Amino acid sequence: MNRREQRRSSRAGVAGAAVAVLVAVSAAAGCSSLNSGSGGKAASAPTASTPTVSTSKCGTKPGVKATGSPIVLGGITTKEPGTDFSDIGTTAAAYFDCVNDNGGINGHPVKYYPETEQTNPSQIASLAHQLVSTDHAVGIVGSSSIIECSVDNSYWKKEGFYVLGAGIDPECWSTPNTISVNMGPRYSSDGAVAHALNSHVSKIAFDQSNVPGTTYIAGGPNALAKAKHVPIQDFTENVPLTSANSVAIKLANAAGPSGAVVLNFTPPEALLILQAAQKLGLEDKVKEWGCSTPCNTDFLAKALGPKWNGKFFVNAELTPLNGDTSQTAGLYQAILAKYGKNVTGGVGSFSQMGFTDAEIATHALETVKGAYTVKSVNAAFKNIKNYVSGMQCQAFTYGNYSEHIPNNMDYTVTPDNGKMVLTQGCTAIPSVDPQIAAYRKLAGTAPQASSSGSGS
Amino acid sequence: MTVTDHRRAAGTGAPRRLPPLGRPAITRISVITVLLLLALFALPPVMSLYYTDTMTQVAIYAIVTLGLGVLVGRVGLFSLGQVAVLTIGAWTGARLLFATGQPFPVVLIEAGLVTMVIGTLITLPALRLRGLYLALITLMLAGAVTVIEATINFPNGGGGFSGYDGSLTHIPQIRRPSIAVSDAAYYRYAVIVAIIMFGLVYLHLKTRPGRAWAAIKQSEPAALAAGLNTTFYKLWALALASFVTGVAGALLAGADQELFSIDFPIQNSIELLAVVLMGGAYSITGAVIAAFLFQFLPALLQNWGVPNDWLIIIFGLGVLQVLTTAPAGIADQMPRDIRRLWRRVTRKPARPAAEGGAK
Repeated sequence: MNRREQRRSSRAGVAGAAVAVLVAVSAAAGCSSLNSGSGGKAASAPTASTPTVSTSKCGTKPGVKATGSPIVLGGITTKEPGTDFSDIGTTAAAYFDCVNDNGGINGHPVKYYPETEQTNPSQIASLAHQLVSTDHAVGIVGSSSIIECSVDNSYWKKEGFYVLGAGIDPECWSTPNTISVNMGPRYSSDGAVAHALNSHVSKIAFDQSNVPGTTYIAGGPNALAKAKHVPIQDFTENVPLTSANSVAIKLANAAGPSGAVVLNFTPPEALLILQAAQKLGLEDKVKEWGCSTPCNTDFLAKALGPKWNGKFFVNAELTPLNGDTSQTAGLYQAILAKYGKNVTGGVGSFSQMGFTDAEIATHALETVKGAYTVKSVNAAFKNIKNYVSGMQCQAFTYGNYSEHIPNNMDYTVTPDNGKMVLTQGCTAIPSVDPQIAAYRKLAGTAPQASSSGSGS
Repeated sequence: MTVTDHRRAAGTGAPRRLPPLGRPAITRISVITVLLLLALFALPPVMSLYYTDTMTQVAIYAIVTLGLGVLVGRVGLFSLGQVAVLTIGAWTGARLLFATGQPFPVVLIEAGLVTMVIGTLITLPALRLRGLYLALITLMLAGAVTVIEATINFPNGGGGFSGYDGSLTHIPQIRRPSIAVSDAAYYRYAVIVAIIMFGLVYLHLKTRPGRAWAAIKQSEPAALAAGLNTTFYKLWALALASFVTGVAGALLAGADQELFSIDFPIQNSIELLAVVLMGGAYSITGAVIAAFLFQFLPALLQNWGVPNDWLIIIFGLGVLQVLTTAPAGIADQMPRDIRRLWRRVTRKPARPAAEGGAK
């Protein structure tokens, strides 16, 4: 083989491999877009009502732009094909834009950096370092990531930050310096299981995606079932699901005709299981189907159809918006309408979380006297006490506790002709979950429902 | 190539003396030395923590791309399973670092050896395959490792074989060497380990195995006819690539300090091969460029506010560019382009285009 032939042969080899790589890259991108579908988002619960609250309500000086030195804040959210929590960061950014246009915080505008990550620990650690050492952020608000709490927790602790976010992994609820406005997978699953137990089911089949912390998540539902002497069987599935039919059959068989199936999946995966159950006629083979909060989306209600009305019960960790006419709901929608061009999912649970984070942070920052430093800002966050946001069942307190589960009262919604509607109002997650009991003991408060809508 | 050429290439002929270093070689060595000194001593004080972390990942992934470069560029084995091998190295490193108090370098070597054995064994059946079929089989193997990994999870300080305890609410961090606890120190540590791994591979390339791999890559039947044990040398390449990737995995465990199965999606295997082809699979410099493309470019884009989703498009276009204009990758194309530009600037008449391709 001469040199030219060798080169040709070599090029052909490279060409073949490169074409294979291109095809594979395209396939991967295709898969990703399929996964993203409705995006793992609980993001499509639009309300019909026009905002009646002016955005000037988000600041103390309506219509006056803040001109002082900026208060730098940042947050880190997961944004990757199939899993996108970035609406939490972009909604917080929208809220701060609104604040900046209406006098700012004691005259200071907020400069907010909503960073996104792709569940990569080194990237997440780098972003935290960037926010602190390069951007000089003095507070962390609106973080929501699959692993961020675990990865960055010791760093935030070392740097003196008290994070205000929307958690997912266990460390978001079990450390002194991170607090979440949402309930997260464990306590939200608790809520779904508690509803099933209150329906007097004889057995529970609890299924969730196989992600870090599954044993921790299952700990709550198992404690609740045990306390009621109801047998519970735990399952985990590797996602993306390869055979939703077999999962649906397995769960229906495990629960039995007087039992309940409770799911803890993102909407696309939960929908696969529920649609498989519907196709196989399993929806009536068990007494009740339940799901943790990600299923609280009208997208799911629309996709499932009327067969599931009153059959499928979903935990809602923030105030359901359908029919909510409170001032907070109005302000939330007004801000999204005017400043939320980057909030891709629009009205929904994730943007509610971002709104609530930013609202609580703004309230805390207004109490700071003097310079906005890491010390003063995080002391203000830590001092948040009994703040009533219309987005939650109960008042919000940060406090000096070794763990934080401030949102431990939930709602339950059910599909009703393409919408998720409220079926059960504020209900305390039972203290038989040892983590809830431990938190209530630390906080020294029994849960108390608050009337929604006072806002900031 | 004749049979005698193959024997000579494989080192079975008369011993050859290394040619004396010419001016280009001395220049190259000087440039590499200066760059390494800069990387080790000048960069850490001026880099932000963000870029210190990023450069640590570049150093680690340079080892991974180096291993894949050996397979693709030297032996012609297109493997899409290298991220699975990295996962095994990271898992082994994390498990050993949690379970034992052994010195970090010992753990690196142990992780490399364990990965070498497992990585070689799982790819053994694929030795009879080449090209697209090999890529497909190795991708399936990577998928299998991902499924196993998702089932047993990464060690998080728990007990038993897996070292995973799913009920933990506080995950302890994977320890780093006592001399490299800070991020800047760990970056230097990673660069030094990378230099050692590059040295190891360079030694292989300049001695008998390197010549054997070159012969196999050019024509396996001819290499067989020349008396080369091609299976043995291909296994050697797989073992070497798995060893260095395993070391990189353990190094990654120390860098990230917490590992999750979702950190190693199959898609990374495809992107890794894409960047190796873009960087240049035929040269050691290509491995460094590939690592920059794989780790530094996303960090840079992130800093500029460009969504990381765009990377898949950039890499797709990059592979297309390599396919059409520069089969030996950026490592080969860039010096040529610089020379061409220099000639244009100095208005020297261009010489006939030099042949590109494998070095």
